[in-house]
Amino acid sequence: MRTVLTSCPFCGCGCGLYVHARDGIPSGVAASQHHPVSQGRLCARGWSAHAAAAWGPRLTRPMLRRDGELRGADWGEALDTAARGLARLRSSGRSIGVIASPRLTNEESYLAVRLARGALGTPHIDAPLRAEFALALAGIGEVSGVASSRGTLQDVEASDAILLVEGDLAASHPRAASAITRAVAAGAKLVCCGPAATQMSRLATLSFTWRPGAETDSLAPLIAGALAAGAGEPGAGQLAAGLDALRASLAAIAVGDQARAAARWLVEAARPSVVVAPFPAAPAAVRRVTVAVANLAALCGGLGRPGSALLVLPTRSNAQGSLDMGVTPEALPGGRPLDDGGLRDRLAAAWGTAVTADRGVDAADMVGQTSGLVIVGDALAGGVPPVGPAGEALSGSELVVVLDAFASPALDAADVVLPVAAAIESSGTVTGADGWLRRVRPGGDPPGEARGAWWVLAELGRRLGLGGGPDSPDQVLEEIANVVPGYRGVDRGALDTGWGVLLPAPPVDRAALQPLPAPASPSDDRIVMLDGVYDWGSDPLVDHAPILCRDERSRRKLFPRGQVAMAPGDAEALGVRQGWLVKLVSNHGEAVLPVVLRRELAPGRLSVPFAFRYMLADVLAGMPSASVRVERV
Amino acid sequence: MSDQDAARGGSAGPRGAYAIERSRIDDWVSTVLALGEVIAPMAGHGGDVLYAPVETPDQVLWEFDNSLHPPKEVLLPQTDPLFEIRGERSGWQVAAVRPREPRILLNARSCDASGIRFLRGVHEEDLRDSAYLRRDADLTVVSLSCPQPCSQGFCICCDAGPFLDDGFDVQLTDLGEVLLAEVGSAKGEALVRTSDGLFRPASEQELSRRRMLEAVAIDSFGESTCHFGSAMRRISTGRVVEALWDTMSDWCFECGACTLVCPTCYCFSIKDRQSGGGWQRCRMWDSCQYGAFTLEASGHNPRPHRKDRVKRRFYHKVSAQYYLRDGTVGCVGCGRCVTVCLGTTDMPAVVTAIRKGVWNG
Repeated sequence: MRTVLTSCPFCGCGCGLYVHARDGIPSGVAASQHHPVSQGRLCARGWSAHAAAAWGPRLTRPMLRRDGELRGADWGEALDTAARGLARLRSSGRSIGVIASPRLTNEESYLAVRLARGALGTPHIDAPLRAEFALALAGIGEVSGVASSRGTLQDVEASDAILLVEGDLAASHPRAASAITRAVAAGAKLVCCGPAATQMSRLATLSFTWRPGAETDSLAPLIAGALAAGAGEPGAGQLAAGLDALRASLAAIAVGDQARAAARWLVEAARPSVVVAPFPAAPAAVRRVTVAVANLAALCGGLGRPGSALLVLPTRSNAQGSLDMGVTPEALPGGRPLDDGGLRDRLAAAWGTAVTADRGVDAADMVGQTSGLVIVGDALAGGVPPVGPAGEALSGSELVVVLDAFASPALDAADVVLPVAAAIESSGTVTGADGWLRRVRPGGDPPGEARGAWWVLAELGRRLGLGGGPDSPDQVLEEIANVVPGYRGVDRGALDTGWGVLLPAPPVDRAALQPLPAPASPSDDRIVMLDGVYDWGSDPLVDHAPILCRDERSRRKLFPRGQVAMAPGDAEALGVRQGWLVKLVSNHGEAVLPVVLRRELAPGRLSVPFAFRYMLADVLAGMPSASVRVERV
Repeated sequence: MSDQDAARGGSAGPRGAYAIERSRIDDWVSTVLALGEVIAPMAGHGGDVLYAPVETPDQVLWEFDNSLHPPKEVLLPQTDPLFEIRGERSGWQVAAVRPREPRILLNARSCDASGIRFLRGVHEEDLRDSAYLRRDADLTVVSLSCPQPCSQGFCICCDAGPFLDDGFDVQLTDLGEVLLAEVGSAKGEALVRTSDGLFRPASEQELSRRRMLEAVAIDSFGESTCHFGSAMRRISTGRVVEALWDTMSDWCFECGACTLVCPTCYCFSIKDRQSGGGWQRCRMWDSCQYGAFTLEASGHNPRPHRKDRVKRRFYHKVSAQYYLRDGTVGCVGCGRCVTVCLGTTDMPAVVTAIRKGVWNG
């Protein structure tokens, strides 16, 4: 039996765990008691981190589509075919997109960017769920000047007042929920904000539910309350620019007793922390919320104060590292602007080819709209395409190259299939939301002929005219440490001797407070919303894990027609009971779903599990919520 | 003599006590290594301790905080191949998967040795689990007594430590210059006897020092205690307020870790894994805390809500019904659930809530 310490492949908390392997097959997990993030505490997903690799439908040899069928091929043939096809598209000026899973290691992400912006000369490189995460960080950056999180979950656990903005933290990031719960048990005040009541809001000292579309209206009284409690006054800690404009934007805001109390806890706390977990909202609203939250953090002295965290938690494990490596259509590695000529020159020197500096399109827009598509890892599990069968959506592309560990619907459209190691079998590094760079070590051997994705990406690059190498993930990291801003000079020795390396974060010198948007006009509309931003049930690491998939699958089985939750009072008024069908009609379309009653929903709010989003697709038209008319069927 | 002790080839309670010079302990471990696979506490990353097969005596830890991951993994691995199913010309062939050689679990803490004893009883009950019991019979448990309680431990409340009277094959106690080896079974006897010249009969002075160390250890338990008696009375006489489970279940995140690392938990699911040209039937760790664990084929779930599942855990572990069956509470006081719980619903916290009728987070 072999046991290695690695990083959990699921969410962005950054837990560490040991993986056991028997005969090279991952067979179990042990918690690491001293790991600074997890401290021995893993969620159900973490405890099954080994399982998908061992039990899933693994791809074990390269395949090529011949006469309409995928047939086995050897590596050389498969790589040559992929490279030839991509080169042909490039030379004929057709568009190529690269979609890279935010679960890939930094090294794999970097090589995916090198493949796209270097070898293929295309700016269309993206990861699913990247846009929302980047927007949330951008909102922070608007206030603090630095678009990144600060502090760690340990800081959160030791905080005495915590503001949590969430969709459902207990489901999306259980380990972060644990840090907050322990803080609450130790006496910290917890203030929750989000679109619906949750497990965390039940543990909260105070919670505020927002109306979808009017998210910042529930945060504005907290900020006004903080100002009233003396935050931002000279002598009250960090002085920030923009105070007058912020005050002016809040002039008409009424501060209730609860908001006043909550604001006072945050202002008076010695160690106030803010945690932002994914919540369903329109992209612009995500940014507005984090701007508001960063305002509040700045006013409470929580920006840059040691022990005060401001954490934006991404949905998937290496979303931060993926973004840092440049898996985005709108920035270069290190989050640098596309017109950073100095960085482009350094990258070009390292890659041996010119670096494309255009702005590309998002992952969702690549599907079906680019002539060639390279899908790296379980990228399509992250909501690309948002609804509908992946195979169908991909069929518009002329050439689809899939690098994956598992058989997936993408294979229906794949022309070249390149089998790679599962996340738990990979080598390299990942970057946590807390800015820590950590090792990923292989907890098993990829089956059959499958190889590390880094090797496949390097081989594709080589065949497309990039120079020799790299020969190992460590060589890639060496290059990253030479060229990627923020990763320069990373101490690779410390990655192995310690738990990881804290990447240097630029200091927040002076915050620039931003005015809040005017409050939305009151509305009595009934609003239907999705209850999350990600369907863990369709994540291959969940779906292929025998114990873990059960809850998700059984829920789908129990609700074959989906479900819409509403408050008992609303059901009463409509004259419907649990299980009866209702029709939801929006400006875009309609859907019929059975009702389940949920006491915790506010009157006029209806909620549909994210997993059933496709049943609501016509009503929502791509947004996470919509005003609807509800009719009894 | 109970059946289970008979299965281990010896009577309950120590059969003899021996001593070995500390300077010779590596020689003994070398001897034991020649007898089979030795699983012992080893240093993991950054202060972590893990039970794993050792190759040389110097890998074995003698002073350590107990491993967060329980050594029950040796008998009940998270993925446990029970047998292989292969298609042959003559039809389907089924072959059991067994450890290749006898195994020795060295330096198990008292709580974990007690846990292994508990699991033996469970697997002997009703339908005998021959796969488990065979593996158990092939394992020799060498426990290491605990002169100092661990920070979260409350074994004292479960009669599972810090020192044991029985339930081990050999119990070692560190007396300083020498280690005392109390033999609890024929298997233990064999382990000591094959090491001729390394062990000598213990002196009365050494035995009295062991008793003194035990008394000091017992006196050293601080706040970490768990009063099962009154909780069990309340549970078994229906005097736990139902609303308590509602409140407490909000402090549970359904990670299942309390059950996965519990030395006395054994719930599992069965699934066949395709391997080569056939299948491997595997038993896998499962948890009564997971929503669909009790989901029935009809779609009915007897424990649909989290509060039902949290309640179930304590109604199993701390009820008179199971106490009468198992002869003990379903807890050895290792304190692992305190460390691994994502929320705060660990054994001592919930037992206190049941006793007092209030939950304080």
